[in-house]
Amino acid sequence: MRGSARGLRASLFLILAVALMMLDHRTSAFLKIRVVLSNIVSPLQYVVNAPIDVASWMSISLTTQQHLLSENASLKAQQILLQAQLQQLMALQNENAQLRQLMQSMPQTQGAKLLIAKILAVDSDPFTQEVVLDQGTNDGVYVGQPVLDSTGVMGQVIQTASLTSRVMLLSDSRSAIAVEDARNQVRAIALGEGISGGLSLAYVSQTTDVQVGDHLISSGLDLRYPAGYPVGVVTKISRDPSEPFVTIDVQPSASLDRSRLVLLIWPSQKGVSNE
Amino acid sequence: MNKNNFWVVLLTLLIALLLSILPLPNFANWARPLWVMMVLCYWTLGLEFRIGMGLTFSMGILLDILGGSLLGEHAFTLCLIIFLTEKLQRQIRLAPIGQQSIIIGVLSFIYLLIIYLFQGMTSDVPASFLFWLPVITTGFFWPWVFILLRDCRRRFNVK
Repeated sequence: MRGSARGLRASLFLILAVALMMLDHRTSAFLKIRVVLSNIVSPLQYVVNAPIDVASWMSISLTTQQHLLSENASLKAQQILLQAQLQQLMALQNENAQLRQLMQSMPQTQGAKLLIAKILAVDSDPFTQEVVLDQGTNDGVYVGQPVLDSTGVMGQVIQTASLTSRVMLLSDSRSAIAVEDARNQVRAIALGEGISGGLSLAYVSQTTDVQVGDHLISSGLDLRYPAGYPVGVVTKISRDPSEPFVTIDVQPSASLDRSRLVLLIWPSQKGVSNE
Repeated sequence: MNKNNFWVVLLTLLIALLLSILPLPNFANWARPLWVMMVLCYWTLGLEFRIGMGLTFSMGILLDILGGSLLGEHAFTLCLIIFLTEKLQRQIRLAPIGQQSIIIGVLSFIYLLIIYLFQGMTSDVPASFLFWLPVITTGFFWPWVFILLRDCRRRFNVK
């Protein structure tokens, strides 16, 4: 008798799990529940991250003065270079604004709010291309927020808790971003390839002018990612005349698997500016 | 049904959860043993009273949240594996430790097979054979986990 009661209990839980999966896959009703559950597990994520933080703190505090001096010097040199580039950028910005005024079009708003976040050292399911950040709703992070690193677009926030948030990288198979070729403004959509960690361009016809080595930047047409940030570089184009579209492989600009510090960005204006 | 020192069981499960999100280098990420499954299997085998399905289910949900997978995926799989372990409890307990390893390897193969099916239905499946690596690593780590948890059980007199 007890055996059959156990079997009944087990099958009830199995049915419950299937129902959960269907609801989670088909509807967004579970977003709130996921938030609650994420709040429960975020201490675990911080606990796992802690020894790695301590180790990196130790390696910083044990570096020699010599090393710090040389690092300081190289950082200073880098800052001067960046400042020089910034001056040029400001001049260009002014000129751009003037030209836009001449053409009587809306100026692109600048000065989006930024926040630096750290990627927690926890592993996710190897199927998913996701990372966990140490900032959450307490700092104003919201679902759908774009995330950048120092070299390009990384992905978007897909789930928030009060102290952590989960970011889907561009290479995830559910991810898509509107891009344009920096050389000739050809527009396309870059899809994540999943486990391989790369991107590919979707629905590019045989005659479209895209070449290996072209830089792709975000176009902002998806109303989610801000326009003008580097997304990737075209690495391979295979044209098969029997196929309607070209297969184009893209190497992401952001170091998706190596960055530790990322930028959360609050675009100051929803949507695209009127051209 | 004396739940004597049940906190030891919960503590080992917590450690298993931490181990399953511990950052590993990329090549080792696929080889990560199924820690939570192993610990749950041990307590199912080693205790007079059984690990409840409710506890198994909640561990699965926690794994899903931590890993970012479909909610219920690991919960389903764990419940099924623990149910199988309960059914085979007598046979597994009597088997020598080497044979136990093989049985645990087979159980983890079933585990991965179910995950593979769910992944195939909802998103993409891994093309590489690396995905099946935990079958070997879980079987390999079983004797150590078994001895460690057995000592734990005797030391704290978990009944």
